[in-house]
This record gives sequence, C-alpha cells and structure tokens, in this order.
Amino acid sequence: MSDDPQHPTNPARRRLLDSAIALTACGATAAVAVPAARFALPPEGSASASASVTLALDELRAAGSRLVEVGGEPVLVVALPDGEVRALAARCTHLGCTVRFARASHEIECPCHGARFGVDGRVVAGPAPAPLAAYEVTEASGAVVIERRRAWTG
Amino acid sequence: MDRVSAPSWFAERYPAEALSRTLRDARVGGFGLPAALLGALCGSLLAVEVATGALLALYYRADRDGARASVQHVITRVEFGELVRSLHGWASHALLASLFALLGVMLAGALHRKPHEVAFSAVVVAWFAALASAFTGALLPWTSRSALEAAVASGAVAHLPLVGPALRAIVFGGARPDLTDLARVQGLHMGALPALWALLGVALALHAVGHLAHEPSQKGVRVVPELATRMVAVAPATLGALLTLAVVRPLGLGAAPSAADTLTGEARPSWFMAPLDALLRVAPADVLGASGVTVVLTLAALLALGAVMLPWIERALGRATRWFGLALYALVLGVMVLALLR
Repeated sequence: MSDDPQHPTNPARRRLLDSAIALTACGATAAVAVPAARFALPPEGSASASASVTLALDELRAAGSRLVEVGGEPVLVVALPDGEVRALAARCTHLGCTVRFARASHEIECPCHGARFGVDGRVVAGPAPAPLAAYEVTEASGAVVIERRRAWTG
Repeated sequence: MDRVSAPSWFAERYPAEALSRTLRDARVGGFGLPAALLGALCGSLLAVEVATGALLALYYRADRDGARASVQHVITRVEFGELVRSLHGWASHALLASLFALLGVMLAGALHRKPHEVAFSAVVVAWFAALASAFTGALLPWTSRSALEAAVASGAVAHLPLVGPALRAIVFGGARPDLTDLARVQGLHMGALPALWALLGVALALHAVGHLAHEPSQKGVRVVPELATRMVAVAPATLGALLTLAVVRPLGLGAAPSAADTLTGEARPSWFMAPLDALLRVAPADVLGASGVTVVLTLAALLALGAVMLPWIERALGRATRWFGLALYALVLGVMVLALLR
C-alpha cells in the first residue's frame, strides 16, 4: 500500500493492470513473430519434375554411373559389369548426403560419414539405418528408362 | 565564430568524462580481469568481422553457380582481396575460441552466479551465434566442403523433433541440400546474426558498466585508467596478430562441388563442425525405437539449453550441482579435442 494519501494504491487494480500489460505485450510479440516466421518459410515448390529419365546405354556403361533426377529426387544409375543396370535413390538414409558409386569396390558410398551400400541398395557398413530405395529400370533399343520408385523387397 | 577544438567538440557530444567519473572508484580483480580482457578481445574480433565482412559483401554473389567464382574473383583480382578474406576467416576462428575461453573463465570464477546470470547466458548465446556465423560463412563460397556441410547439417536439423523441418526450410530454403538457397544463408550471415550480436553486445556492455558503477570493489586494478587502457590496447594487438596470421597463412578457397558421379573419398568438415559430425557418425541407427540421430541431436539441444540456463539450474538444484557447469564445459572441450584428433 502506498504511503502517499494523495495517490492510494489498489492492489487488485495493480494486478489487473499488470496482467493486461503482460497480455498486450504477448499479443504484440505474437503479432510480429507469427507473420515473420511464416514469411521466412519458403512457399511450396511449383516446378514440375520429370517423372522418368532416359539414358543412352553406351554412355552409361562408359561412365559406370550417372546421377539423374526422377520426380524431383536424385537417383543414382549404375551399370554393372554383367550388363545389368540398377537405379537407386541417391540420398543416404543416414542424413541425406548424395551417395556415389565407387567403381573399384563396386559399392555405393556416402562421402559424409562413410556409409556403404551394395548395388542392390542394402547397407554394407556405416551408420545408415535403412537401405537405398530402388527405382524401376526398363531397357529398350540401346537406352534405359528410369521411372518411379519401387518398394524395397529386401 | 568561436574556434572549438576537436576534443572539446566530441566531449560535449559524447560525455565519456561522465562515465569515467561514474567508474572512478571501480576496481576489477580476480577472474573479472581476464574476463574483461577476453571481452575486449571478442569485441575487437567482432569489429574486424564486421569491417571485413562489409567489404567482402561488395563482391559476393549469392547463387550456387556464381558464389565460388565471386569469392575467387576477390582473392585473385581485387586489391588486398586475399588479405581481407583471410582476416575475416581468421577473426571468425579466433572469435569462437575466445568466446569459449571467456566461458571457461566465467565458470572458473563463478561469474555465472548472481548477479551475472544474464551476462553468462548472453555469452553462451553469443558462442552459439558465433558457431552459426562460422557455419553460414563456410557455406557462402559454395565449395565442395560447403556442399558437404550443407548436406550434413540439413539432414541433421531435419531430425530435430517439432522444429526440425521448419528450421531446415528457413535456413536452407527446402529439403534438398544440393539446392541450398544461398540468398537465405547470406541473409542469416549478414543480417539476422549481426543483429543478434548487436543486441548481445549492448546487453553485456550495460551489465558491465552498471555492475561496476553499482558495486565498486576495493580489490584489483582500477577500471579507470588501468583496465580501460589494457582493454583499448587489446584492439591493435588483435589486429596485429590477425594481420600476421592472414599474411603467413592466407585462407585458400576449396574446390568446386565435385561432379555428381565422381567419388572423391570421405570429406572432412570444418573444425567447428567436427564435434557434431563425430557424434552423428557414432550415433546408433536405432535407440529404443527412435532414430539415433534424433536422440543425439535432442540431447545436444537439451545440453545447449542447459548451458544457457545453467545459472538458474544451479540455483534451483543447490550446492550439489556447483561443479555442474565446469563438468559440462570439460565435456564439451573433451568432445571437441577428441573430434579434432580423430
């Protein structure tokens, strides 16, 4: 209670005022923070992504592997020595780094933390928790078509 | 018209004399002295960062195709370009180390306890801001290492519960680290983080001056002029040391991101990313049904929050936790050393 008789203090009114000020401050902060956070989030991408990719078989065999984009996702296409072509999701299942084909070991390796996968997508070594997903590959008249992801069959 | 000397012109407009009078009886001793000098060192390094960063921004292009070329242009074509860039880089490394040393001094001297709690928390936040500045700065040239660090950080951040995907979108511009939006990274590096630095600097300066003026000590060196002189002397000494480093060990520019189908071997992250990188490397794939990466990052985030809230945690838990801060510091230091030695 104030000692000044000219300006008596009402504790209930003081609490009400304090609460009103705190609420106003919270509201004003939210009114600034929410639009700012929404502004910082990028809008959903609208670019159309190709659903399939066609590669010349000769060029693929000469290079050993190619990185392409199918449905907006990076896909690693590997030509094996026995002539078979495999297509696997190129994002490591550990943290999403782009994996690469090592011709010497015939394994797929992640440069970030050393995860290694077989050409069938299975985890061979390292911290990756899951295999790489496989994509459908169709060979026709000197070319391969890579399209849609298929379920990993183990 | 009266002739006015330059010193009196400034004295009328910036009355430092009043501040000097306020601090006339103030003294600083014990751990306060190295803390003040380390604070001055951090301020000097930050000034170098701001000045050289402003110059580098004149030439930088924030797109993945042109970023590295614009930095190379600075190094090879712009006069003193390599020196300015090396000064910026070395100051960033030194700032991280100095802030970490300052935290150690504050903990050793119990300068995280009342009435310094907010100052300690501000320094912890400043250290995280320095880490964020160093990280975003390492992405800007978009070299092979930048692409690798973007991939690791983007993948790791997405594992954080609740805020992960949104945080990744805000920092990298989407879920594809290879398509990192460098304009966003530039905005954080040159806008948001410097604004945070300014706020923290003002908070720490107000705390230091207010505390010294309010509770003058009878021990230690006098703030005016002994400590003030030493703090002012830190600035040219810092600049001299940085210039020497920048000339003797100029910072090179890494290779461009490698062709997608060429395996270049396992890459190493920047030294300040090494502890987190090492933890992510050893994290098990699965911990009680949850992703090991999620568990490691959640623990790291809780530790970071614990460091910011340390003064209040210690106070709440009592005397038994008085060594908690130093133990946490030793743990972070140990992980850093082990990760760097790996």
